[in-house]
Amino acid sequence: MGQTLVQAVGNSDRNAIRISVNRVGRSAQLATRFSLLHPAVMLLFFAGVILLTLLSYHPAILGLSAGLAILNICLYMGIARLWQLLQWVIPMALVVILFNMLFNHRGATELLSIGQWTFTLESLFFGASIALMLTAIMFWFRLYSQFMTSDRFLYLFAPIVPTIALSVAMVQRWIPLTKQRFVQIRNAQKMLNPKARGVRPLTQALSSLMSWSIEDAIQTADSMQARGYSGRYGDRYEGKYENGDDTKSAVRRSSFRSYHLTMRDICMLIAFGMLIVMGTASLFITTREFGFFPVVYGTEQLSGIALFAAAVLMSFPLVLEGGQQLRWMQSVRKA
Amino acid sequence: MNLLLSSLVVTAVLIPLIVALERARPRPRDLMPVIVLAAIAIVGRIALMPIPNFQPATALIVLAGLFFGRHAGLLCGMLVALVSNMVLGHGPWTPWQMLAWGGVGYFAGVFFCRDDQNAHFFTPAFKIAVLGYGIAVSLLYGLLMDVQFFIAYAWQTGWTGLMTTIGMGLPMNVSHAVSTSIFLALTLVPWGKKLHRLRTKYGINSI
Repeated sequence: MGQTLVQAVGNSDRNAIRISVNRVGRSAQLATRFSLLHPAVMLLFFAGVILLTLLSYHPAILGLSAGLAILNICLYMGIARLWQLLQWVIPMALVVILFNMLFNHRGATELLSIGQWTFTLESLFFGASIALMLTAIMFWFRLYSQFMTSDRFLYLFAPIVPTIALSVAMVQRWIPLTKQRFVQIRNAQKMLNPKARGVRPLTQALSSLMSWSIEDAIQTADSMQARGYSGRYGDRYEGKYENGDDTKSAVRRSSFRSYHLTMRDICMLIAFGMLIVMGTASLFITTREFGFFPVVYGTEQLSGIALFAAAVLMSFPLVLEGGQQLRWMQSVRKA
Repeated sequence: MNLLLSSLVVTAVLIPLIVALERARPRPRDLMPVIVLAAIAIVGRIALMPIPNFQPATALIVLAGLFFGRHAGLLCGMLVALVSNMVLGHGPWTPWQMLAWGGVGYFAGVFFCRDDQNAHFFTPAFKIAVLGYGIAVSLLYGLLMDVQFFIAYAWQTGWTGLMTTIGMGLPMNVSHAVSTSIFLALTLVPWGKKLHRLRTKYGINSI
């Protein structure tokens, strides 16, 4: 009896640990080799991938992009997340395909005609490639929000747009706080007057949520100003605001995490830049010859250079992390 | 190509607005009401997801512009689009939503914001004007989103496609307008009084 109790407690503890690890993994994510890169490298990577995906409707390059995005999501986020994402990407893609089929009557190959409505194979192809583009873009954006966490976003953009960067960070903090406070207010209301129904208590709760949050936020704002948040990282901002207020802060601003641009990061920036320029230029030149109407033409015009650049760029996180993952799985199997 | 070009154009329109906002160089204290309103708008938008397009976001963005100036409205709109999409999913539509909602807040500031906005003295005509503005911008917001869908994914379908897109979007946009007018009617005066009190209590400036 005692033994089972201890085991049960032990198990529940282990569960608690696993849950908290999962939570940490979700917010701060466990370090992968890709997540250790400098934020600028990440930003250039995602900008390049999205640019190359958006530049043409050639099915080969779109298929490549979508496929590699799916592999990346599987590797970094797991199949469960991919499934979640697919549940709303697929309906959207179907809407785009159907819409194009129904309302675009151009194209030479007739599939079906009802009255004056004709449905053509070309408009199906066209809708399918736009849907493929949409799908690929949504996958890459999902990876983007996985990796560009708010501290990286702030690190990159705080020097350029300090007001917006600060506000984004603050709003992200205020969202869970708002939820939590709303629940607290509602609980207090229910306790004071269990029979209250209708809209009035709800609007009262929202109103007190607003004033409570703002009163609290003012203190935070003063503290942030004192700690030098309105300027760049490491600067002590000593200017004047437009209304003439003195803004001297008490201390220099420090940042939670500082990134250093290493030699490896610089090499990657250069390599990515070259791949992006190469891919963009060759896509821009070659896929002009490609089109859907009246019949699909110029499919063979896609240059190998563009495909090569896109493939190398998009499979970069796979190569970076894949080897490690394989080695890890082998060692787990051995043990 | 259309998707890329339209996103680039929209981003290019956003840049001067963002520059103007940064030039205003608001104190963190002046940002706080905007941030709180944006957070409530985002929580509301996510919580009310089950009802299609029924959301308090537009109403609260109008309030931000109306009480704290055009740059406050712009910032509130852009924040709601940017941060709520971190939860609901980023996509090529993010810059469009930032522009649309930012514009909603910006013009609320341009049309309605006065130096010392005091909700105790709102005339009925003013209230009706604000409600009308809320309904109009909700419909315009929906229209812009429909045009975005058309330009990006369905421009080959021509005039009938555009009309169908707008027609199909209509119920959603009406739901959006109804929710905006409800939330505006509920919050305009009571929240306005509170915001006025907070502003005199803490010396918050318009931006």
